[in-house]
Amino acid sequence: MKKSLFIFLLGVCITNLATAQKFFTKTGRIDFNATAPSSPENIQAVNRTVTCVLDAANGNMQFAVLIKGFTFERALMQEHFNENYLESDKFPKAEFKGAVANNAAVNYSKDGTYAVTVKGKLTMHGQTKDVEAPGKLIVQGGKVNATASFAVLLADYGVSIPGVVADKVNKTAKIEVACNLEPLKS
Amino acid sequence: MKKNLKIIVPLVLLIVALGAWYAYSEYNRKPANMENTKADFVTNAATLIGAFEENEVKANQQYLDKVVEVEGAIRTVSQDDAGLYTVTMGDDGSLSSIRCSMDSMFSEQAKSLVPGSAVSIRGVCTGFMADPLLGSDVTLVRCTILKK
Repeated sequence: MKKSLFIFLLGVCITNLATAQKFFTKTGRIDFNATAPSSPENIQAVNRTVTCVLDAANGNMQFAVLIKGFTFERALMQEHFNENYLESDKFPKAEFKGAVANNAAVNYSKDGTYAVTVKGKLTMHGQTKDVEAPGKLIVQGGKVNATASFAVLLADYGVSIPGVVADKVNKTAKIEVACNLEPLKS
Repeated sequence: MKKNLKIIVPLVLLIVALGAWYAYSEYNRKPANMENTKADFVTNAATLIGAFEENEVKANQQYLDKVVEVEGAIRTVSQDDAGLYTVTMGDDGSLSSIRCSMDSMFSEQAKSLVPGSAVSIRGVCTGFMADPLLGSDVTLVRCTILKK
């Protein structure tokens, strides 16, 4: 009796440890692509210094990214992106605060691939909007690989595209997120 | 009159050609290679972190978009899925660090860095990420390792 109680309690402890886990990265990646269908050149950038925290217990998820950390292939494009469109001097960061809507379906202590929906609020260029995105969580060896892809309408965030470049810069930008999350030792 | 044309026409052509050349080179300009760019600020990890922790707004005005050369002790060297390296610098006692996203051209050198040793890294400062849980970071991108 005592033994089974002990095993039960041990079991409770282990599950608690597994579910009370937080995962994080500071080297997540976001790909930004606003290439219009008719554009002869690619309007895309990558940021490799994305911070992300995922709380396995309730699915809460947060991302933060520095706008100036987006690198373009062409310097001029990068300058316009910072100065004219996202005004990164005024609004240096973009943030997402939300949660994995179907967190209960994810078993963070068992290896596997889980299709998830992430819902929350995205703030960039000083404007906050609701965002919902399909994503994927791959749990493997105690780590979580998180990927998601969604589109943002730039006008929603107060970013206007001048007529001269309307054939090159798309009104919606495709955002791809990829993070390798490590367990947070607390 | 004819004499004037002989001067004006080539002159206009020259200006147009110069303009086209300028537009073309400007359009194709790559972000500056940090290896050959002079640093706007030369500092050490503790000073730079301190400046941002004390007053982020002021530090942003001073360092944002500037080429900064930072000296400090290496804390971690990590590689992402794409094979690119990130080096962090800072004191062992503090959670805060300088996070340097290395230029792909310097992967080989980044690989050989040993945590605990001193290094000098030059990159573009993109800002500060304050996080009470994870520790705060000053981020530099397109970083190069300077020979010591």
